Amino acid sequence: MKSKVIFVLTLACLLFLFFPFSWILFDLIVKGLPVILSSGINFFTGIPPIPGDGIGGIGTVIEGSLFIVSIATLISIPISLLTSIYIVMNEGKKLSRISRFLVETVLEFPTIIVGISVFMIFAVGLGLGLNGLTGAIALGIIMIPYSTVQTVENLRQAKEQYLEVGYSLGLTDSRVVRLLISEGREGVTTGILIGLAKIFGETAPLLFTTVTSFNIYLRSINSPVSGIPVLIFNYAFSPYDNWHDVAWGASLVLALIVLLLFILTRVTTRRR
Amino acid sequence: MSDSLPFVFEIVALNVWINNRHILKDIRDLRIPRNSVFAIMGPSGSGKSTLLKVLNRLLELREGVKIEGEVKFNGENIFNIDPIRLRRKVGMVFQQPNPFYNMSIYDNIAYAVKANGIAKRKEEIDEIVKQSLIRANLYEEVKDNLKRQASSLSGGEQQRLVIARALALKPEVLLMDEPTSQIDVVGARKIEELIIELKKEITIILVSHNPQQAARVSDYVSLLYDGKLIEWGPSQRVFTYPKSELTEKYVAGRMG
Amino acid sequence: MVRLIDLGMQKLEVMLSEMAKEAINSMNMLASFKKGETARQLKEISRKLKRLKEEVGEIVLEIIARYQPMASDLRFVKSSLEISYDLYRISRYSYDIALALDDADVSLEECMEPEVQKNMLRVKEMLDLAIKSILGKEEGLAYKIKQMDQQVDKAYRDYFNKALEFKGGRCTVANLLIMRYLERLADHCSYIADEVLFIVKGIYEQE
Repeated sequence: MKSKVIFVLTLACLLFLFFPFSWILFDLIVKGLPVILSSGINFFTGIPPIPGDGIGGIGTVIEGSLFIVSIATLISIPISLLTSIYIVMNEGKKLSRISRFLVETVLEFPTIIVGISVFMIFAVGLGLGLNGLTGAIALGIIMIPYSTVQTVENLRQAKEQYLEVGYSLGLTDSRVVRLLISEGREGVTTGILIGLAKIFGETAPLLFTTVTSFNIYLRSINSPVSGIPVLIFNYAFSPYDNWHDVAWGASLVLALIVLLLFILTRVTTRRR
Repeated sequence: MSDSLPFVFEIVALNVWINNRHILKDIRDLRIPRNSVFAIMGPSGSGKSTLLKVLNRLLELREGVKIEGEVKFNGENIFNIDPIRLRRKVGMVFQQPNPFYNMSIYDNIAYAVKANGIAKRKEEIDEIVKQSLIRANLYEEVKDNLKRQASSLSGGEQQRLVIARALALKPEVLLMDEPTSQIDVVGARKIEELIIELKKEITIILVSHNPQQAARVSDYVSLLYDGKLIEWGPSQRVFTYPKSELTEKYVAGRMG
Repeated sequence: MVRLIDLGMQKLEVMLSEMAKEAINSMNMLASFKKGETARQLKEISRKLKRLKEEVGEIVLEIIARYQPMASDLRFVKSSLEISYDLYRISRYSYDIALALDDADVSLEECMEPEVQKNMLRVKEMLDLAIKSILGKEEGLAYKIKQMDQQVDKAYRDYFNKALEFKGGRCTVANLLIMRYLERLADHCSYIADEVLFIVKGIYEQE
């Protein structure tokens, strides 16, 4: 009897958890899908409409997001990888422990603060201005701890399995590191994917580092492009109905991208 | 020539501390005869694996390790030899079979060969891979497809692959740390038979948690207890008439 | 602590004790010799010991196959094979002595010469010591037995030489045969002593 009660309670909690998530997804599909369908392919290639009239497309911000995220990844991967290697290979040393601690702290940092800091230091201080590059720097900084923590875990496991083996085969230090990365490469990839999934949907840092005009395609590295979340933020709070619709469509696109990244993450981890 | 000395390893005196705990206590006059199987047995926690890892200087990679003493390899003090050079002559096989799971059988063996610059041309490497697999008694079982993933092999086959990987570097000595404790009975038997074959060409130092296994395969055997060397000698003598009361208790199963 | 092998080892010790008891018994029966009857009884005893010896052999095989004995256990297992054979032979020689007396158709009271009597007591003492040394694994007793064996040998050679000069008859023949069998019996006690020394010291000592 008791186990039946527990079973029912567990099921109820599960449904309670799923309910808001399903509601949001349902809402997104109901409100966003028609918008996308009405514009067709143009939704992904065209530019946003003028206030009050039409749907147009979010091609500019899709390109912008992809650009920003790519640059952010390019910035964060080397730093994340080198940091992870240092932390794992020097586990007993104080600097390794401090680095680990710092990484975990930045992980918990409110992303809005990262946004403001990057604005102050890079956009204003270094004169880079508000554009895709600055946005990428902000997102890169946010991505680094996510990738690092995951990579450190994976390198640690690889180290447990293969460090002694590598050295016992007479490999040099650098060769042993290459071996660990090679054997742990699934984990390293997962680390990057987790970081990507995190930053794709980050809004606050972009608000401080990119512009709120969405009509320009990329021309150079510091073109003033922006990202999908920023568009959603702006259009949702605007007084124009058609802009609301575009915001719904963009939200659905964003949700699907992030969902896809998470599924990819799961798939790559399960293969081990 | 240094490798015509009768003893391939000689532990003149050795003390090891790990995190200030005295793990190996004054090990003296332990000599490993060339081309023999030398077993190190003892209850768990007696320091057997630690002793083994001193011999290829793998122990020094750990934090908090202090080693004092003199250990000779072919007459040279190992602490004066470049550890990388030493490890290419003194290979190691571990308790848990650990082939590189993401690589094929071929790549597992070729990896260190290439990384250490032993051979560069494909034909040379192919030959080394084949010879190592033959020496490890694994060739017949895998020759049809060397590109198979290492993870597809059984436990006993994986362990033989690990042995082949170590043999590819043509070491003089093979250190084996309880190589069959995680393997099934049939696989373990094959590895024991392999050990006896291999000793014709190289010297094998084997840590065993099982005195019966040490009795089956070894020519010489030693007992380590609580970090101390209790006795060592020809297996025939030690197992029928041990000099020490402790050895008697351990091999007859009277140690609690 | 009780080990698996201890079950087998206990069986061995019990068997050897029983065989030892019967061996001593067989020598005691000679002291109260009755024509015909003693020989019959001793024949039974020696048959029994033959069976027990074979049983010991089977137990030894089982212990080796199942328990992989080492060190002192291994030495005891090997020695118990030898000792069981020696104990059987001892009972067999007692039977042979009874047969000799029957065949010569003499009685102990009429015929037995003092040195033969003395030798018989000596050998009986050797057997007692041999049994004690097995049970107690006592080195000292083993050495004593080997000493006494030399005395038995000398007594036999002395009597043999004496008998050569003698124009004896039935008694001489009987006595000579008894001395001969006693010498062999004593040898087996000596072999038992060798096995005890092997168990304790791990080697067979050369003379």
